[in-house]
Amino acid sequence: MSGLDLDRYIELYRRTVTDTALFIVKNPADAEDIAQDVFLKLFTYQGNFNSDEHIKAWLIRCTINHSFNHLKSHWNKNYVSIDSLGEMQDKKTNDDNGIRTALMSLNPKLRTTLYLYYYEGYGVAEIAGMLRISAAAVKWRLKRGRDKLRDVLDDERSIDHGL
Amino acid sequence: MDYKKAIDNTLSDMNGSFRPMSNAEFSRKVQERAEIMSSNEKNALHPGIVELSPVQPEHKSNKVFNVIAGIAGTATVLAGAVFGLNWLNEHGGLKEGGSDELRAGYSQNTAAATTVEEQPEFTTIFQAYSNTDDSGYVKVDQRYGFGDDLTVHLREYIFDGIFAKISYELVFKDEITGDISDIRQIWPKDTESGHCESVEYGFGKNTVSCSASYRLETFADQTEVSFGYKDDPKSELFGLTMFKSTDRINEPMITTAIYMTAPDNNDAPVMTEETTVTTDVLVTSEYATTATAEWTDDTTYNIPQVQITDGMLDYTDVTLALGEGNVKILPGKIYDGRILKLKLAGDIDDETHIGIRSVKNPRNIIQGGHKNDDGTFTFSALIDVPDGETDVFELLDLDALKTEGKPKAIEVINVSGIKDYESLTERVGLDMTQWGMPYETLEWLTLSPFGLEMSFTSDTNWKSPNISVEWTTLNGTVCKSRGHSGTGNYDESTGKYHTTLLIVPDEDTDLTQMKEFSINGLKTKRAEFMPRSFWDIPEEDSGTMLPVETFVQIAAPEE
Repeated sequence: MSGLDLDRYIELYRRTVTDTALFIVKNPADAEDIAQDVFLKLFTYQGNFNSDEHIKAWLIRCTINHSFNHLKSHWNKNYVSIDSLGEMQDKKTNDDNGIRTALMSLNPKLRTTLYLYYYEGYGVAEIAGMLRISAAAVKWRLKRGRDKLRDVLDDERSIDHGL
Repeated sequence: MDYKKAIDNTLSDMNGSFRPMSNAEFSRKVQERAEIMSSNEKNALHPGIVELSPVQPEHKSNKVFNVIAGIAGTATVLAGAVFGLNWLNEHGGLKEGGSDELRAGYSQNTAAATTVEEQPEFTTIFQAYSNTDDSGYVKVDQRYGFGDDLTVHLREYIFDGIFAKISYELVFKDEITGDISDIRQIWPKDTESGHCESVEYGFGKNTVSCSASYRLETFADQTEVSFGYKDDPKSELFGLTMFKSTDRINEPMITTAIYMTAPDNNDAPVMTEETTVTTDVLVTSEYATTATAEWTDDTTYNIPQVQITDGMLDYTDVTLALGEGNVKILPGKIYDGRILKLKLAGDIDDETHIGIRSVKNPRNIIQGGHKNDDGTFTFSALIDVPDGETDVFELLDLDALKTEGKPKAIEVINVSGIKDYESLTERVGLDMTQWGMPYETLEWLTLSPFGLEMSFTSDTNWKSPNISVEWTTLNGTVCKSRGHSGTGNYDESTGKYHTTLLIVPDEDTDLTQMKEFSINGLKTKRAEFMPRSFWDIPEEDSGTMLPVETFVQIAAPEE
């Protein structure tokens, strides 16, 4: 791939790649690093693509893989320092009805599936292909994600109303 | 709810004050890294940079795979027989491109990809592919039956471009009592393309589980790894062929075929097969055979098998004979990479009737269970399979100890150590005297959405009384669990006994949502029991729920 082509795809899809990574790893600096890795992979890729949409799907899939690999290296080390609690407290007050918190509380797999479906607009079959799972598994994750969000938000509203 | 808007707002919030570099700078960095990588790669093998070519259907249609008698020779191993050599090549093996009357046939199960229409005269093997972008993990689950005595069960396959790891089992009908030293001698052969890294064995009463790792040094368009006797360089029992291709959307991938060789004995049966598929595993079709051997399907096995995909039970109707009654495993999520949780309906009231053990590795398994309000029973076990490894477990009918003198296996469960949850682990170091356990120290706590593990140590080998744990969720639901830390494993390096209590909530209860927590009726002092990363008390209680992976509120003990 030429440098000019790379520039073009960065222009087109960098935001998508970074947002996808950010939604999984929850850290903008890490998401930026992952985005670099993914575009590096694109730049050195020797195969052929059929279309820009094909490239986008390829990029998203790469991003998901890299993001989950990144998460794996951080599992069981997810300490929260006391200092960061204050930061979370500030963010919490900007949270519109707790939806952001609820979304980020979801399991990464559920979160990713919701993101691809609702934000990127992919269909069940396309998501199944991207994530290498069955269509039934995609539907289950969507349902589970929505149910969990609903439970969490209902609890929040209960607390807010002193129930 | 407007999910798209919610996600958009979430992303904006998360970006916060972060200032990304410009696109021009970003592109420059990517190209710089590519240049550095290129100059470093001349003497290294990088899985992501392998030269890959577009789809070549002739690879798949012209390859010749002959399923042969395979490790039936293992049965004869015990009698000292020796495998024939080069059987595969003599019958139109892969390296020769195959003979005309033999064809491979398969189709992908996930898409309308390559489907070979010709039916082979001989049986074929299955193929599994792995994309070098992914972890390369593929669940295989294919069996080869050889008469009544032996089944070879291929389990999992992992290939990341450098390391290939294949797990398989030799399942004998009867308990193994003979010399199995020959089985230990089966290794992947070292060649110019790579060498064997390790072979691991696990021995059950009638099963030998094997896991072999192979490192590739070079990867040409096609690479083969053959398994044979370590001391006999010419022997060949079965092997892997890996070749480059692309998938249905022109993605580069490496297709792997696993083939079995046959002994020289021309009377050896040639098997038909039908593959149980999971995602990413290619389906083989059933072919006619030239021999009289018959496919041994699951219905004739003594032990059926539970399939777990992504932690979810695939079967929707699994009934086990337990004691004099039956229990049914209810569908749902049953494994998260660490905690196995089966919800059972039927004739079971406590966990003393059912056990679980590994058939591959000697593992210290913590098990427990509780009766649910709806009459079902939750059986849980802490099965810590390390990431990237696999294991096979048997569910046991312990009541058979009384009637048959030994526990009876009633179900087989395959698990892989791929954890799919976020958890917190904290060191506590708490003297449990005030909670009715005078000799125990709570060393570690691990909290995840699926369970709470409490790891204890003790200076003495005493059996602690039952521990009753109770917690209240944010919506006011009170949950209970019982267990005991029991007598633990002795660690010579520490001079202490180590035990673990596993608390597994009911199916719909998320432990990270707990509001209050008590042990043996005593509510804990939240400042002293749970680590700060498990809970927090906001300076000002706004009533808004905090991120669940961070906070678990614990009530103070009442003095």
